Amino acid sequence: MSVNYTTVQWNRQKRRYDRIMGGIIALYLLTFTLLQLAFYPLISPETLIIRATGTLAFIMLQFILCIGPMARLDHRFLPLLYNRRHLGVTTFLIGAVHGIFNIIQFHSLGYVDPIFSVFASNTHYGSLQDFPFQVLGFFALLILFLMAATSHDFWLKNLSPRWWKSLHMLVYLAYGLLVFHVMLGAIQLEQSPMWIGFVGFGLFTLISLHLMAAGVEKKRLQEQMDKAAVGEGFYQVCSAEDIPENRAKMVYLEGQNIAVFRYDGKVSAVNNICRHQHGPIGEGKIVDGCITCPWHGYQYLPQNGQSPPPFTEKLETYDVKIVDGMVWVNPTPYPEGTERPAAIIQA
Amino acid sequence: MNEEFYIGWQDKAPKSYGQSVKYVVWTLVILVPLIAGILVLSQRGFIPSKYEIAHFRTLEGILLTEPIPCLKIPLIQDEKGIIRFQRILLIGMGKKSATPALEALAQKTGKPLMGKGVRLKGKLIYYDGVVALELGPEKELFQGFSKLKDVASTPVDLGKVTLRGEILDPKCYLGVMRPGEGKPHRSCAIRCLAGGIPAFFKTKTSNGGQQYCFVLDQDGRPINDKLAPYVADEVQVCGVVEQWDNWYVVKAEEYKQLMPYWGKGMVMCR
Repeated sequence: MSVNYTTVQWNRQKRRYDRIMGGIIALYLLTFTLLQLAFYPLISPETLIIRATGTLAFIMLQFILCIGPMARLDHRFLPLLYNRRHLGVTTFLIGAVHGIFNIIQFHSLGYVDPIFSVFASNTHYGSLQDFPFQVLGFFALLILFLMAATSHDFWLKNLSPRWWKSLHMLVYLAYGLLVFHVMLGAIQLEQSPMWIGFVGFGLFTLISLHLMAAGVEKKRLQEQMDKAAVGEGFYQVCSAEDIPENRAKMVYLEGQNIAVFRYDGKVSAVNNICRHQHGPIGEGKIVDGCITCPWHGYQYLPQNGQSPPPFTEKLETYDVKIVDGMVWVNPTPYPEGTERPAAIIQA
Repeated sequence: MNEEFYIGWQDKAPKSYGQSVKYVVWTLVILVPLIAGILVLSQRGFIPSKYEIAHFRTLEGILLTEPIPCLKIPLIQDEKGIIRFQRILLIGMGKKSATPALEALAQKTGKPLMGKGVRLKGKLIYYDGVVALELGPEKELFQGFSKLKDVASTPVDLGKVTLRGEILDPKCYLGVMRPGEGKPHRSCAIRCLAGGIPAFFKTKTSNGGQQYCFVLDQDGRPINDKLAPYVADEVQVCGVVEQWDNWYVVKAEEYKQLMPYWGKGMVMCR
């Protein structure tokens, strides 16, 4: 969390994350280059750079997209998510090296502008087999550029988390474009079952992880719907005993995504969506009296949804009551940061 | 519920989280070189084409500026007194034909250069017996006239044939790029053809080898613009093949894609 913008708010875990990321990237590039030179020494330097960076960027994007559902399925993967934006920016930079070398190699030194050439050289836009696959890579790289350029919290704040999140969801479009970019480009030359299997396995893994994470979420919602009872605008969500101390129960009522926290013998309800990157607040924990988001550690006070001063983020709050040990929540939200009395759990 | 909770901005991650990350990192350390190895080893490899990128050579021969710019270099004189020539394809810098550089040279020397003996400096590009010279920079290109006299070569008519293969740009295929063929190279080859570099056709021989020929129209004129849409696809070219010294040239009457767009099926030459 920060009140001022700094280029990178370094901390120990970010430094370790980046060092490990750099090491693994170096390991891939070194292995790829050495094996290439050992087994195919005829490769030209430009082709080596294009292939090494292209495959690496695709693998990195694949891994990045797996982190989200992995962290939803098992919280122990959350450290991978914490500094994911550095991984994303690095992926763009590696992809950019691939793209720039391709444009220089295949489109420059002719009679037309190289960027124009990307779109105008192969004009089989009506054919699937002969589709100009480089155009797909160009647009995927453009999306990754937009994401990298707006990855800083300055843009998150100024674009608003909603628009920022929508923009960054385009990463799935970029991935789709890149799958076709590879299938219609490199694989049509190489025609190796290993390359096809590699792309197919990656796609299958990614879709499976997302479906599994969605399945868990759906099951949670279904259980909650089955138990819900209504009275005077309140919904019965669970027994107070069902919520572990300093943790939350997440409920979805009348379109409201709500996290009901139990702490110090009390229960409070706030909106379940973190104001930073829309992380699931309800999967967080109360630390030092503050609800702490599991994604990037943004904090809020449970009774009023306000971030502790000097921070300014605020969540909507909800009325909560406890009747015969059961927690009831009214899903009508109060404006962000409105103080609501916590419901006391009777001994 | 696991009481440990991970907060990124804290100095240390809880033990169970740290342990999981360690497993992921070690898995990646094993998996990443493995993936690199699989990707590298499953490539189809590269042809031993050659581009002498850092080495200029001066070649002496008879300059033919059209329809395909080349240097005719005399090799040997047989017992009947016939001189055999090797043709060296001339190509400009970048994705451009040799024609603009040769026109500028003609202006500079004040003489038409067609059929003249010249010494030209450039970089050699070669593969499988086909040689090209990428012309050097303007200041160094012309190394003077030579005493060689043109001996007109009579094209040998080899008859009408139907060939199957791939249309390429010779500059990239002969060595400037590896690989200089196939779908990923399509746009580059189209750029080269648009720049006037002659269309080059690679076809398989009956014994499994490769044969190459330049493609012109029936009247012997370049048809790069018409061939550009067929680059990198498997195409069928029908026409008369002629031998021009060590080159083969097909004067195409018809050219069609064998694996055309989805749904159109196979088309054959008549």
